[in-house]
Amino acid sequence: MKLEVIIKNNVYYDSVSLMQISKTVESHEDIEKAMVGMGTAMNKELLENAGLINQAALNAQPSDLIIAYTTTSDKLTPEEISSLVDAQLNKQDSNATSTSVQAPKTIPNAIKRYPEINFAQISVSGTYAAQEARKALNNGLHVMLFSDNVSVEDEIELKSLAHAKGLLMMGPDCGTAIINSVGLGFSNEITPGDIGIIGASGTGTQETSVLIDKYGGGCSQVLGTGGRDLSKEVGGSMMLDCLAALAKDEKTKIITLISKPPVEEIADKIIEASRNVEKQVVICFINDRQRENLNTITFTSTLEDAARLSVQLSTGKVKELANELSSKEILENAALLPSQKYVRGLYCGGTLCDESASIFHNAMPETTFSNVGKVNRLQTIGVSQGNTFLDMGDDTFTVGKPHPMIEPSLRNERFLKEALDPETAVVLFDVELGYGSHKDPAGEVIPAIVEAQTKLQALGRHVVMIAYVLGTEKDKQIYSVQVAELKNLGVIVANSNAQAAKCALDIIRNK
Amino acid sequence: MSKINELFSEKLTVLNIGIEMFNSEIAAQGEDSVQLEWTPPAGGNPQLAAALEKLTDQKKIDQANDMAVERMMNAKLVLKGIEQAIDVVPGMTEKTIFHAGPPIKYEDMPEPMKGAVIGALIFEKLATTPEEANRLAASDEIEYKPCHDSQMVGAMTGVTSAHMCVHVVLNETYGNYGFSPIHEGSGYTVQRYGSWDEGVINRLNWLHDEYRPVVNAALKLSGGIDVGSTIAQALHMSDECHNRNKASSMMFYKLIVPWLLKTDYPKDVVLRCSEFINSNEHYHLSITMAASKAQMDALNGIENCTIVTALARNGKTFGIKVSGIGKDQWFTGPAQYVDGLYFPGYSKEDSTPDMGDSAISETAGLGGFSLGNAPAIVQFVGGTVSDALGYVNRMYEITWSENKNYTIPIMNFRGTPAGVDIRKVIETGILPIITTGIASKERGKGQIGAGIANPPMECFEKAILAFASKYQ
Repeated sequence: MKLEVIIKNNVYYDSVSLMQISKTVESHEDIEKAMVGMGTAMNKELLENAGLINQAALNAQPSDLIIAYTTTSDKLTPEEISSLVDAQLNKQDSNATSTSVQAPKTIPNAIKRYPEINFAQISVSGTYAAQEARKALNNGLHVMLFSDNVSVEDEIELKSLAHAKGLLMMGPDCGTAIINSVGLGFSNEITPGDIGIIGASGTGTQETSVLIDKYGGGCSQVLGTGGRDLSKEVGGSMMLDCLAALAKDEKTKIITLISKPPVEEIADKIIEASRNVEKQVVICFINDRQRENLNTITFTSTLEDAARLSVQLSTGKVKELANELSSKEILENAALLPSQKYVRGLYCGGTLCDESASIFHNAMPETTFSNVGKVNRLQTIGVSQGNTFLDMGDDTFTVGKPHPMIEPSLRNERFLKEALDPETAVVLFDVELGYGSHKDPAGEVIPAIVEAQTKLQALGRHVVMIAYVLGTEKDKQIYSVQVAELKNLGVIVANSNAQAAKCALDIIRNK
Repeated sequence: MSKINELFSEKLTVLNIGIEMFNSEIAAQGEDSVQLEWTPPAGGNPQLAAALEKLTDQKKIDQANDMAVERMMNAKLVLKGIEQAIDVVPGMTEKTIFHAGPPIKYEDMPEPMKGAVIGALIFEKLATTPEEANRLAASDEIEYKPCHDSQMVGAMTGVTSAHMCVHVVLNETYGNYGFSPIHEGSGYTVQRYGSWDEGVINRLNWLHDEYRPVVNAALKLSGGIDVGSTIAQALHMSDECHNRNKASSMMFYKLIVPWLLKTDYPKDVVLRCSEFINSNEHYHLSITMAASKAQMDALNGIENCTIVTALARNGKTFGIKVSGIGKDQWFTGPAQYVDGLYFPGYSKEDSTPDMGDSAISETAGLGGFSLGNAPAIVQFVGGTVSDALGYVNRMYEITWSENKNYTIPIMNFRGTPAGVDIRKVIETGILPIITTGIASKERGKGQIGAGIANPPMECFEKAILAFASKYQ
């Protein structure tokens, strides 16, 4: 063991940098103990205590740098250690002056840092969702609450807080909105226009906005209220506030309301408020009873009609869509066996599932089943019965997994099972494009289609596959590209969700 | 026009809370959005979350906190003199020992603190040998009290007895005083770290007999020295005023020397006194601490205020105090080991856990909270200036406001984070950071390193639960 002391005269380094360098020198494999420090009285005391002192170190001035170390190696030269220290002392940090930007952790701090924030999109888990929404509202932000599993009590409280502050409180469970042409949640790139949508149903709102685009219209704003807004407890609070806002909005000429049929008391409230708006209002209570049109209010019960009527009122004309499906032609090509009696619908979009199930339920109520909505409940969610419509985005399927609109491949296993069921004549499914959705949703379902077709061929059977692709040409996934992927495999692609369901219904009835 | 209609005519700027994909989808549209780095409030603990929710967005609390920060900003902190503790510190008696951190019994004290008590008893001539002092220390004759409970703060062990000398800082705005024992200098052999050898006792005697009257006379002549102004300037001279005190100490030297020369004391006496200050680059820490204590004590007992008024450690437990709960209630948890750089030959195994009242600096927005001011010591936190600034940015997440008086040039003169809000600590899970010295675990071995320490979350958890149950 020998002690080496190197003195560098007339230099100055702050003690903390030197402590770091001491550590580096000490980590050298040939060095046992080391200290690098200025020649102050205190440092000499430290050196002495560490057994690193000699006369040279004792003679050092406070303006001298002392490098002291003990080593057992004969090969280690003082020059090597000296240059190691120099390299450390002169090390430049390329980032030294750049402020490290860390994302804000709380809403008030985010606003303090970015005062231009005016809107909060919240998708944290249900346990925390209401709390974050409340904070956002209290900080003056409009809120879109994507999360579900929020209690109705919280929803009522949040909406009355928003109402008092004049803010949007879209949700809980609001999946779709387009504000100032910015798509939020699951939404599509659609043409701007003068139709303002207020939807209490996620994919229903999305479907209507896309159909409006296809029929040649455009939207000023697409607002969501969350599925429970028109319940008796919540009382349509957000829909009424949105209606009041769109009534005053200069860019909105037509207002389109979308909801499942509410209880009569709430329906009356919405209708009454709509009567006081000096604009044309299209009210679509999905699959509702017939209602008589009022002066400025037109009622419809399908999303397709809601879109069509809105565009008619907006532009005076509706662009007709080519290629209406012919169930007769499909049937001729399909050669279904007598045992193939039913439709199996596998949906990522909840409202679309609901819409299709309703279309079937109206025609054949006894044999229509679903895991959601007002039709017959499936006995076991894992086993289809008759004409089955599965909302694969329902909680029972999504616990611990992403929503199938984000990850459509989660549907593939069930898809294969249904296609291979000997009772299946038609597999009906949806593909959602747009913001929030998978980057190639059609591509995700293709492996299941191919596998089903291969296996069916071996069994000597054919199953009709009908898809609805919800999206526009401007969506990042490109509508025509996604449709072509499916058509290449012989999948029939409908122009609207309702059209797909009606076509399937015709096939079942006429076979 | 309703706020909703206003939104329709504004540019939409989204704060995304939750699934990051939604944020990137907005960015993909060429629009502005900010992703919140969200974590479940209170770490997902339902009891804490309920307490937190009860205290969130409450006007009464927000107003109380505004008032508290205003008191911090308005404090005029003036060094008035150097006195014997027994003459100024409330509750001091001939047989009282004050110590750092929350209450602790002699037998539970870490070794350096026991050593400091022995040193104090020998200095007070209550004992002549360490053995005798140890017996007395363990007896009922000696009363132990936290400095913090009596307007005082002490660095490291903080052990202070009747005739030790303290800096006296007056908060002129609110009329309250803060005290802190004089910093004896660096090195092992200081009473503050548990030494009691002859040199240590002689130094304490000299401070009492010669230094105190001389510097006191100078301070009286000066009419008092504005400590707030010294700190504000030192922050612009690369001090963070906890672990780096070079600039403030130099400034104090510059301010006091003319007044020392104006006293009637002989030149050699004045020289000894001025050299004592000049030779200690941490001299001003004690003054900064006394001033910060006087500043934060003005916030005591503000009804509904969730701001922390004390962060203090005794080497065994860490304690905090909260304005709205009152000045006598500690919330404690185990003191943590310091994450730091050690002097040669030492490691974490040789250290005492986090100790001292010096975290009063952080309480007042200095030290770790103003690390961006002190690029020279950023090695404590990973070695780069950007690391240091990152730490400061973190602290803004847990403070109620920013300090108008203490600013950070490198961050465009942004005020240092001011007023630790227990709600924000619980909500974000971010703990205050403290830049601190590390004491040996043995008596009289002095400082063995320096680094970064955090309080245990437990202190804040207990505080928020107490606050929620008190708050109506």
